[in-house]
Amino acid sequence: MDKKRKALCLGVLILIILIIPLFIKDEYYLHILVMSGIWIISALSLNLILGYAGQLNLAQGTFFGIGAYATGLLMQKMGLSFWAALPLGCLLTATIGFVTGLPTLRTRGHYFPIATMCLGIAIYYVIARWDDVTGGARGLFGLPRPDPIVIPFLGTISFESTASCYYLVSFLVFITIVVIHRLITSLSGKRLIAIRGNEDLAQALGINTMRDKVICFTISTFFAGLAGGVFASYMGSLMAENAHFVTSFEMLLNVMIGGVGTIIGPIIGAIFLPLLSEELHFLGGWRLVVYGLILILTIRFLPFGIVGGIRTALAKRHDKRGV
Amino acid sequence: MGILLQTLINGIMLGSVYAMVALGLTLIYGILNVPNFVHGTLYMIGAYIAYFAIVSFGAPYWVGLIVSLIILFAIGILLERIVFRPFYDKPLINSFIVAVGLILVLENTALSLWGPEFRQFAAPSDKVIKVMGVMITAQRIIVIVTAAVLIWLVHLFIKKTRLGSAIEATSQNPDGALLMGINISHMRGITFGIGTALAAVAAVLVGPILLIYPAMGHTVIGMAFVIIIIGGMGSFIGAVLGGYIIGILETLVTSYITNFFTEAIIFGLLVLLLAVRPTGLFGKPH
Amino acid sequence: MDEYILEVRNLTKYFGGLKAIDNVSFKINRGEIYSIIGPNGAGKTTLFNMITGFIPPTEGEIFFQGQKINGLKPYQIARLGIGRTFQLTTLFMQNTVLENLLIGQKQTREFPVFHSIMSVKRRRVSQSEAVERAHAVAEFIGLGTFKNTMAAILPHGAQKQLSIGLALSGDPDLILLDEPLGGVDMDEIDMIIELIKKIRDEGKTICLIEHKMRVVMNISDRILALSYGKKLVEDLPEVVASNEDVIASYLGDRYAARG
Ligand SMILES: Nc1ncnc2c1ncn2[C@@H]1O[C@H](COP(=O)(O)OP(=O)(O)OP(=O)(O)O)[C@@H](O)[C@H]1O
Ligand SMILES: [Mg+2]
Repeated sequence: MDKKRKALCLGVLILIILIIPLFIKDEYYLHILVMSGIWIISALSLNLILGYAGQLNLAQGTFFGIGAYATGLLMQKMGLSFWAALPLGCLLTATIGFVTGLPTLRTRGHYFPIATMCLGIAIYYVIARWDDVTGGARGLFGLPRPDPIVIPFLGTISFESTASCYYLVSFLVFITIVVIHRLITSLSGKRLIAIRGNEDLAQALGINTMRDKVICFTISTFFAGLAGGVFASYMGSLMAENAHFVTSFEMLLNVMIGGVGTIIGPIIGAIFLPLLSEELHFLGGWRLVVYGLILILTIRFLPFGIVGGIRTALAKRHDKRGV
Repeated sequence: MGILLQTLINGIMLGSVYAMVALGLTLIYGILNVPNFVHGTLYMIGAYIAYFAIVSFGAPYWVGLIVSLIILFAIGILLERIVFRPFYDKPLINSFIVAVGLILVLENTALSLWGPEFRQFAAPSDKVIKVMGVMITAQRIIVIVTAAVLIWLVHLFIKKTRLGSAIEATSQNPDGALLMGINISHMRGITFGIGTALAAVAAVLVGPILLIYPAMGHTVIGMAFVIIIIGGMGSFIGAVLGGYIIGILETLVTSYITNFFTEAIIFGLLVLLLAVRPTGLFGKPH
Repeated sequence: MDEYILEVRNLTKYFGGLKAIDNVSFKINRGEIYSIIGPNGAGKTTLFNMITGFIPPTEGEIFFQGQKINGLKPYQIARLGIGRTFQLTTLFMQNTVLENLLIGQKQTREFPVFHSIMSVKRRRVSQSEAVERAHAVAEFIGLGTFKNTMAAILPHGAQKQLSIGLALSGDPDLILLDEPLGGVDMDEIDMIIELIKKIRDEGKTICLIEHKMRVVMNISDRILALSYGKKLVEDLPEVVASNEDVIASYLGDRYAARG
């Protein structure tokens, strides 16, 4: 595809995303789209560390939770505006990511998922038991939506409606995609792929793998925190469970089913699964059982998810035509 | 003094549970070379099976325990065969994620079938024994003794049977079993079964003391990983000793220092330990 | 500048109770092909692992271009100018030949993440420099026609060539090759030997571990023979070949079997 056609496709896509709210009259579906946006950001964050640097971080949901609680508490307890609380919340998450990444990323192989699982449990317990600050097991309620933005002479943008939140989330998704895309298509991104491929070889080639892993981990937790912060303000309430396995699982599902190690995969996963979730609503709690089965079958038969499946199918067709 | 003794006995009891769960985990790790994240979930399933045998079918406690042991042994063998086996020659990360998928399936099945509420079944004896001025329920003694006996039995199995020594040889040196002419996949299944059954028995033993609910395995599995990392992944003695030590330590911290952040402290310490020794306390450098 | 590019002084390595390397010293001259031979388990790979920082020595020192390098991390040593291959062919299997060689470039290992995200021009310039160099290396190692082939599906000989290419790609002064001919077919051997000579002619120093005696005797300027971690002799090929200890511990069966 040449550059012009690519730009055109991108333009059309952005236009469609911009006008969607005009056609979706059912608030509920718009709500699902907002949630998809939040899941896209978090899935891309996990995909950066898992799909590119090859490190299965089982605490990613916990970083989502840290971002959510930090943003929520900064608004509620410190009275900060959402626009200050969100970046501070992300920075705090990334700082905790940096500090905890230093020890955990020293481990390799089996030990990293175990170490991050333990990290996740430790932080979860701090959130769940620190009643005075986090509300403990009761959760955190009454978190405000983003404050209205006043634009001189033009009026104010309020974020009470679902549509306005949709635009806000879409914008943040856009930023996330641009940053992560630039990172992984650069020479730095090649280093991450090298670490995923073979860490010893990467070191023998002069790559400071520890440093790159820590940077990647920190960036990835930053975006997990971003998704969490938006989630907190949009939903208005938080439970300690948001900072636990449940969220990590959700991210992992989106990434693996969409296609790990690609940008489009996690996006597809994060749009497809919430929609599927709606269709499967009648299943109640069994829905997650179905998800678990889907996850197992995906790894077994489509290790690169939907995107990988499509690629293989296309390659086959291509081969056939070639003959 | 009385309180300290009481605390120690509670610690040994908790340690018995940890030792059994960690022993199962370490056996499985030694043979299959996968950290079995599903272990804690199977522990939970074991508790529920005994619960239904005892409460719904009116079986005596010990029958419930045996039923749970047998069923979980079978489930372990089945899971190894159907779920894990296709992934041995695939990248490590795939079997991790499959384990995560299995947790989703099992835990939410439990949640949907049996609800989130706490359950409990009665102990086989509600006697209270008085030792050196301390009151101890009989169930605590039962937990401690049964665990010790079972751990001893597993030890005998490994030392005295052909299959057992093949398991030991394989976990120390993956080519060992091939040399002894033992069928590897057979051995993997049996080990997975034994490990799972150990977790189930541990859960049934503490069933009357702790509560049964779908998420009950989360902290236990975390602790079990802490233990086998400290004791050396794949090490029998490390898992057992580590189990008792962590159990006693946790109880001491809970009663004398803080009730609230015990888990956070223990898991936090493990992360720090890994920072200093990235391959575990007794692990080989890669 | 020093005459020696690498100097190993009284190096010893214990693995638990096993003495894998026992008080070994040697110097490698600039521009030569220096070979290390010895039976299986003699400690050759362990020596490479210590020189490149993957394993810390128990005792002794290593100097590269006059600078002490033991204690440095593997990536720091690589950046000083030592490239290496691994005994088991190690590549980025899921990537193409060109991507493999791109990863090895100096520009790749040092390009800051910040510029990757924020800058436009710097990013483009470094990237095109690196890609250009990767193409050049691919041609140099003779894999010009395989540039877009995934490493995993290359024939074994080509994989060995690529692993040498990776060791070369950061433009090091010293290259450590661990059995570059291991498992390679007869018709591919000559190609790799030519490649090794070509690298030497570029002015680079080569340290070679190899079991194929005839090749070693032909190609090397000097040879170090190890046995059970100890240095037996270090001398010109013909001297080493006629050394009794060497013949007893090593050449006896090898020469006869593989000659
Ligand atoms: N990481 C390690 N831990 C423990 N022992 C090791 C380790 N690496 C090597 N050894 C032991 O050190 C000795 C030397 O091994 P090394 O791999 O250096 O031999 P080598 O000369 O390269 O042999 P080969 O020709 O088979 O490649 C062997 O006995 C080996 O088992
Ligand atoms: Mg070797």
